[in-house]
Amino acid sequence: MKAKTLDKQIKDQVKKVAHLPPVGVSWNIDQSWDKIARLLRQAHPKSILWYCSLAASISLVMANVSLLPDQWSEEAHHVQESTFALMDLPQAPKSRAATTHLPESKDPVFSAIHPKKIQSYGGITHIPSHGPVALPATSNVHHTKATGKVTLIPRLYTGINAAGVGLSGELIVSTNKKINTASLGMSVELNTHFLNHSGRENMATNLTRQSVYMNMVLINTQAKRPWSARIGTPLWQTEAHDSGAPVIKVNYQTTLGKKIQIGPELIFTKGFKKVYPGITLSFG
Amino acid sequence: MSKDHHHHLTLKDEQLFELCKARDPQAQEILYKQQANAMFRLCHRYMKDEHLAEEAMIQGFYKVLTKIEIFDWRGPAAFKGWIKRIMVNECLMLLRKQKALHASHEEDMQFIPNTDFAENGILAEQVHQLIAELPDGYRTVFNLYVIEGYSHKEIAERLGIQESTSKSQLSKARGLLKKWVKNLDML
Repeated sequence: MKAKTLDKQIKDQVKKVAHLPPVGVSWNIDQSWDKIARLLRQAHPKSILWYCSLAASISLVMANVSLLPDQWSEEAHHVQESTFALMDLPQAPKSRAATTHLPESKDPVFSAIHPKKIQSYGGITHIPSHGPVALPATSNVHHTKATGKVTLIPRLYTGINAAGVGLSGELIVSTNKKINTASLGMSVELNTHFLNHSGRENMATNLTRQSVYMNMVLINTQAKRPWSARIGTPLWQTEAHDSGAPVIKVNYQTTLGKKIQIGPELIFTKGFKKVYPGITLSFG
Repeated sequence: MSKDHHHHLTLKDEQLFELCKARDPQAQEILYKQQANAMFRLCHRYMKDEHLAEEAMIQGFYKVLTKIEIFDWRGPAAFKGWIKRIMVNECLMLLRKQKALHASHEEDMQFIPNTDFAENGILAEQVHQLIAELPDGYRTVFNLYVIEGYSHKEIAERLGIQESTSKSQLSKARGLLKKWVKNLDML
């Protein structure tokens, strides 16, 4: 008998009984299901990690939001004293800058969050002028939860860049909308930068800033090398963002190893006249 | 039987897939029951020990049901192919753990047929038993090449062996099967 004939005959016989209950074994279909169902009910370590990531992302977002008002007003105070030159941004009239002494308001929350007053102030910016900025690298936790039509992806950001240390959380809502094999999603990402401006007497040495970005995200986990790309803009854009010209951040990451993602990032300001390149490196 | 359960039983493949994606326990059980016999048989072709075959199948279904959202629905055949690939992977992983993925060298093995099958004339079951009786190395390569349709190059990559080793293991598997088939006057 030729090898090919033998192969074909054996394959045909295997196919013939493929869906029939196996004979001559003690295997029980229901008992196996019970074992699978038990496994499915157990909280998987990855699920725990997912929930931890979600909790951490929400906590970071909330913590940063609570910091925003004080941060802005405190920063405004420092900037009023001495930092116009450092920021390389159009100076606001002094009379308008004076309106940013917000903590004196009787309603601290309202006064602190008052975005119009903050935006009218020229010294607040996400982009320091003294060097390129890479926003915090993303530590991507690749565990998702399907909730009907959308997938929720919490991400933790950690990173070091030229401007300081970044720490942030991101929540991506990935929809079922697809562009080829990539899922389209939206995300809110809140970054905290710890900026170190030394050499200025009246400057805070550890200045923190928050940037709240709304991103459009493309995620492709089907690709041979999974990748993600995003384009985002700050939600609360101040005059500091170059007199209203949009600040656009684009970022692309691809997997370097099983747990590492790397990719370039570009931040465009001044109506695309200034570009700040950066590199993001992610672990997780 | 509840109305809901009856509704699930009449689901189309894609609806069942979507419900499994939404982690519906009844849909998961239905999907399992649809595929369990075939997948147990598949695992048993790789793992001679039925308990190990069951272990591989359980782990395989667990992965299918927890990773289902990464599969893009392209029809029932593609979905079944995806499930089969997961099961084969589980079997190979288990065989690797058992350190059974080495080249086998048994030449003088004798096949003792299960008399139940012989008496009942169930040829296909005998064929299953023949494959299961092959030494681990022969059986793995035979299953991957003849039944699953992998190339020698793919088999070599997956098992971490040389292509030439894959070819020789297949040739030896065929030799043993031919001998047994001839002795039993089967095919």
